[in-house]
Amino acid sequence: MTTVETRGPALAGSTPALSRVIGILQRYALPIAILLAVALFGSLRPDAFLTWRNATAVLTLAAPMLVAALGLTVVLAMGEIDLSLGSAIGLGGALAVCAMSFFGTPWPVAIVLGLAAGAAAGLLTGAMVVRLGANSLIITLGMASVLTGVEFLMTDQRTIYTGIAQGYIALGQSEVLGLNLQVWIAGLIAICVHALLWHTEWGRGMYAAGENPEAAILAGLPVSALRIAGFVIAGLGAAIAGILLTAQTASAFSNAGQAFLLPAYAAAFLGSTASSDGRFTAFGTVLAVFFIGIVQTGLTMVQLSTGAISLVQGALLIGAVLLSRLGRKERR
Amino acid sequence: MTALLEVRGLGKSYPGTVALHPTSLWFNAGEITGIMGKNGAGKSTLIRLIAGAESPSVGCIMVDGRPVRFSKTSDAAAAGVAVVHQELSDLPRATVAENVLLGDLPRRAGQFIDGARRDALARAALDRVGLATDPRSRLADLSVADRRLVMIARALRKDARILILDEPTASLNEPEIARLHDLLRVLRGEGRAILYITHRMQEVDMLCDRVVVLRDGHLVADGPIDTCRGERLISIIAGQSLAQKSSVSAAAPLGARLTLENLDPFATGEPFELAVRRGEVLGLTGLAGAGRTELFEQIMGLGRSTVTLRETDERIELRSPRAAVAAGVSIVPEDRRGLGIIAPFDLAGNITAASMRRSRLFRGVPLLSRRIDHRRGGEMIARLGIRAIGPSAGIGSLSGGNQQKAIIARSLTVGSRLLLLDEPTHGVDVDAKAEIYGLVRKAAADGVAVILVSSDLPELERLADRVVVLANGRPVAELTGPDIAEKTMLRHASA
Repeated sequence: MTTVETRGPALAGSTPALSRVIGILQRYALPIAILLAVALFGSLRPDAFLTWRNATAVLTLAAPMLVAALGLTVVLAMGEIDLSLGSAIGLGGALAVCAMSFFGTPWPVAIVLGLAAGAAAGLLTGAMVVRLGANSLIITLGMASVLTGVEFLMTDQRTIYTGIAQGYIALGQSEVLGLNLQVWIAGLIAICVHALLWHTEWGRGMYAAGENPEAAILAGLPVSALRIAGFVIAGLGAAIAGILLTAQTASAFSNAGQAFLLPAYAAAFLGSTASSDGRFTAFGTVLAVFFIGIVQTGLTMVQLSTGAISLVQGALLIGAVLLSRLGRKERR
Repeated sequence: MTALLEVRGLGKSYPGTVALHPTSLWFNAGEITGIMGKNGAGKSTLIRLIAGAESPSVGCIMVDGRPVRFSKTSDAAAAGVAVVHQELSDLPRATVAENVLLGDLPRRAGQFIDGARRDALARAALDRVGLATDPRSRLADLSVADRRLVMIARALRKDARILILDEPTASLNEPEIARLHDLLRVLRGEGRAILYITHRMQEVDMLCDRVVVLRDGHLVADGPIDTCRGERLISIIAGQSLAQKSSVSAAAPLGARLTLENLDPFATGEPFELAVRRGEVLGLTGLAGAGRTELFEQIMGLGRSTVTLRETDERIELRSPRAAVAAGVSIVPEDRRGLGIIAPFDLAGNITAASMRRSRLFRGVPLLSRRIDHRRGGEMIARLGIRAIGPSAGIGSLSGGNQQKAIIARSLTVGSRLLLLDEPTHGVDVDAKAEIYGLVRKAAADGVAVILVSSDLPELERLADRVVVLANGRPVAELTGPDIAEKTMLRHASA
């Protein structure tokens, strides 16, 4: 009787050296992209781009975006989606400003009100998604409209710039140790989110719930509570971003948060390419926000038209993601 | 006469294992052939090769005496082979007509569906299988039996001359089975070759002209049904079991009795009880669909009604997986990739996932210490002999057997009172199997009550102190001592 020969899996047809280079490119796509961007804009406008002033300006501009994107990272790590992020940013900032402007509320209380609004919105979303089993995509799409509606009812769609306390404005405009206070706040939040996701039981449970909900439930993890907590964190992050934003401009203008929604997603997804298994991490999101901020500032400095900036920005984003996908396919 | 379908020296191997040794078989027109064998005997592999779902490693397939090569399922379909799978592979939200005519909907004026012709064609196809359902009704509203008939109608519409049915009577009741068999006899009369895969002796006896038995990837019997039935057939299927029970079963003294009350996996309203003692390995077996997995889900608090765990004076309601884990009940789920491993965590993280509390940096603060986590993971890696580069190894880089050991380690870290194992050696190699048997025995010796679900009967022979056979979500037999034998278990399960 003949025996059946055993064959190993077919080998992909590439040399080890090439696949190692591809591996490095894929693994470090984001840091490489940041270096390339700095080198590119630095060589185009060395006098303006490669300055401490510009570096701090990039960081300051990126701070509110970073906070919002970090909250979103938590939701994405759990395998959920939050489209109400932009509206929660707008509502959080507008509520704090309105409280001061209309009622003369002391600024710390106004901040607490703004944070509470963001957290409450997250809690409501989380409860609907988790307890009633609704799809987070459509629920948060509805919540986006609801929250924007609340903001507009409050502000009448006017820009509010009177009656804002100096202490509040100082949040966005004072410097500590050579950096804007917002940068320190955003950095602190980044550390907190990193610690939450990597070093706590909750974070482990969140990743587990996103990766393999059945396994997480069977292992006895409190998956429902964690999911709700994730949405609350995203709501809080959005509210903080809204407060930082209004403090930076010393005003609350209508629907200010919407412009942050898609860049926040871009940052989180781009950041997920920084981990070897495509996981959403705080660290990756920080890198991605830097990258997007650097490109935005650089493109403005080389005085491209708005259309060209938009085009190049999109192309760079796609390019960075594709770079990280290099070599993934042949591994399948 | 040339056979309608012939396989000549057909074999399939995967890296490391041979799923089907070279096998030669003939299937004639106007004949129903029963294909039998235990799980993993090679039945599914044979079917997948004939259906073009996989390419053979050696050998060839001939239809009408001409060699054919099926590189995809549509090649096989074009040659007249149709498979009705055990899991319903249909579109539940579409209409019956759309399912019958899938991929072949009548059109008019370009791409528009011709509704009238669609319904007429579907009606004709449904009449052939004796189904009076409205072609416009939604498939999901039909019973499982009717859905299978719809699948057969689809196969007949494509004029399948070779019809393969994989466990077609799973979850069907007696009248439904009789109706299906009548239909198959009619189709036999039309000169089709029918391959009928089943675990149930009785059906083969009633329906088939011939029976083919596979065991461990080898063809072990092929002959007219008259020469091969009853006890003789059971012996052929079971084979000689080489494993000696004494090799792993330790005569550890049994501890306290745990009773699980209010078990009712199919929510019939007639609950039953199971008792298992600490130090005992209770085996659970039954055919596919007998409710083994559902029973475990109910014990873990995921069923429609709550199970109560009783040990001496203590009564615990297992309301949720959290409550179950807190009570020291843990599960090693069947589908390791789907339900067990958590890919983003490293090996240590997977082991401690159900007991993270004990990796805390400070008491009462949910901050994890990586150091403690890795130390605890490392202890289990050493204790269970998990082969990996260390606690920080990616779980995905481990072999199937070692992943399974990691999931067992996770369960054991919960400080288990009751350990539920669902097909723990499914898809792991022989050596890892032996090690897992050792682990299960050791856990029992440490005072854990173990319930082991397995359709691998030799495994139960080797490992279980007592076996309960399930059918339709209820225990139908309890076997101890020498009664824990493949033949006896098969007889009860397939009765």
